[in-house]
Amino acid sequence: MYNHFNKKMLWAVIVIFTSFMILFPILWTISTSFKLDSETLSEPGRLIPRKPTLQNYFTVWNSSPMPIYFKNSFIVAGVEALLAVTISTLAAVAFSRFYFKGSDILFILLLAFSMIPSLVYLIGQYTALSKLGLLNSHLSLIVIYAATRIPITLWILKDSFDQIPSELDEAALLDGCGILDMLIHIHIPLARSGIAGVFFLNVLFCWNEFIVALTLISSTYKRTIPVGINSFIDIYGISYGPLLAAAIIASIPVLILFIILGRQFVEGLTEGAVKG
Amino acid sequence: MFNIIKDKRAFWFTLPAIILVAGVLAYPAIYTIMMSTHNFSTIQLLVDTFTDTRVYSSLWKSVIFVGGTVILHLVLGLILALIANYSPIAKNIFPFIVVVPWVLSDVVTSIMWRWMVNPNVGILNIVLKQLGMSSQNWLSVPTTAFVILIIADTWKGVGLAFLFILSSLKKIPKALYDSAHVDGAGEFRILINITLPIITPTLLVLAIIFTIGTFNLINIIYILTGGGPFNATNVLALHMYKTAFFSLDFSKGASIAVVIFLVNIVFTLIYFRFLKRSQDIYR
Repeated sequence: MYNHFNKKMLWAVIVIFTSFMILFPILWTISTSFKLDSETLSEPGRLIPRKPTLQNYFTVWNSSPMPIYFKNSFIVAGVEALLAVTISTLAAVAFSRFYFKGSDILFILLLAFSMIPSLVYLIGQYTALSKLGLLNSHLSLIVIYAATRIPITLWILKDSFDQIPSELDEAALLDGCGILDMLIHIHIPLARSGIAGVFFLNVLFCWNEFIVALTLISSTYKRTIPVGINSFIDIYGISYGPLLAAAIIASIPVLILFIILGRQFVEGLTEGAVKG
Repeated sequence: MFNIIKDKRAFWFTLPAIILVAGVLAYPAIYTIMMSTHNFSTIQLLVDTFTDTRVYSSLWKSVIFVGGTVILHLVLGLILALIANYSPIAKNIFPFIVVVPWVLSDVVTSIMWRWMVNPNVGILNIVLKQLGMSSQNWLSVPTTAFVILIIADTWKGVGLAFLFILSSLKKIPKALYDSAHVDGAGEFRILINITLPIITPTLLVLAIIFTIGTFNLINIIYILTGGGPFNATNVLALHMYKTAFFSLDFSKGASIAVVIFLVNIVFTLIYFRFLKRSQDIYR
């Protein structure tokens, strides 16, 4: 009895300690973001600030293009997710429930493109866009992101649709349902957690993506958040308070989503991660 | 499979996806190959790239980075997964904790770690000073810059490793452990002779997945070291990017892209081989 209790305590301590170590960089960053530079420099070792302040956050939000970056990321991520999920849903339903000549090969071909790292495509994309005069455009960014994400999104969605029993389809057909009706009233509602999952993954990808956005967008006012924060590194130089505040601001939407979707996300990640 | 309906019209459902992928991925890919061969007229540039010492030195740096990262990912992921498999508390808490770093963007991660290794007020040096050791500028020494890169990338990715390994640990039938206990085997013995051999195929698949991911990684390196103190951490992917977009030599960059592409093909083939082996084990 006594031994068992001790063992549980030991494991609890190990778990808490490990969790703390893993989250430490984030905690430390949050801590510094609430400190004025005077405190950061004079008492660098404190985890809990002596005089916590929101000054850094105000500086970032009011005196830097951060709100604009936020708007840009919002637009790009939102539109891309809608576009990619819509196109992938259509294709996934087709691959899952219908059979047509070459559908197998087509599916594998689409997946093959996702196995090639997006970096390899970048030079060709940049050059082609440059010739078309479509550089520095959110639309180009959205389209490129969508094409990059469609194969994986498609794969996960197809798996979600595969879970719907075909008897439902047969019953619906007997009742005189058309393909589109089935799609809207049966397939999508039943797969909605899968659809929500890939929607979130797409938003996450676009929100965090850096190198393509860096390469394709040149105007300061069109930048997305990752590229924007990167530009802060030189501007804020020695002054880490505002820089870290910017980093936290950038992460807040994603962290909030994570707290809300929490469990669903972790489980979906295991499934999705196995595939992609 | 549920292909109960043979219907040509379904093809139209897939058309938007095909158009996008063909236009945005396939076309630039072909374009890249064309750029590296000057319109299919000569592969001299490609040959030059294969014999370029700078390319090889970048490749070598990629190898070091990938090697270190993959090993660390697997080791730490395994340790965490074993803890979670053994302790119910860990099993409930860990999945959410370890995934948090993965959700953050590469930029945020890099900034955090740059801050932590700051020579003057970074927490790492503060702690070292307390312990009586001297502080250093971690990012301006090649070896330590590499170490920091590997740690930062692992910190971000260990969550994935953990989730994968844990799910495969869960698949090991309890009966195996019970009979081992009955035979009087100690915990360590069980670990080495039962658990590890069974999850080895999964570990191999994971190793190749992380290899592919890390080999093509550019974000963290770009922001954390920008290629490192005097190109010390200039891995192949970064070298390609710099050649094309800093030196503005697009043809050369395209030929390096082709090299990267070929390496990836090799990795992918190995991946399928490992995948098949890991699935055979459940026959």
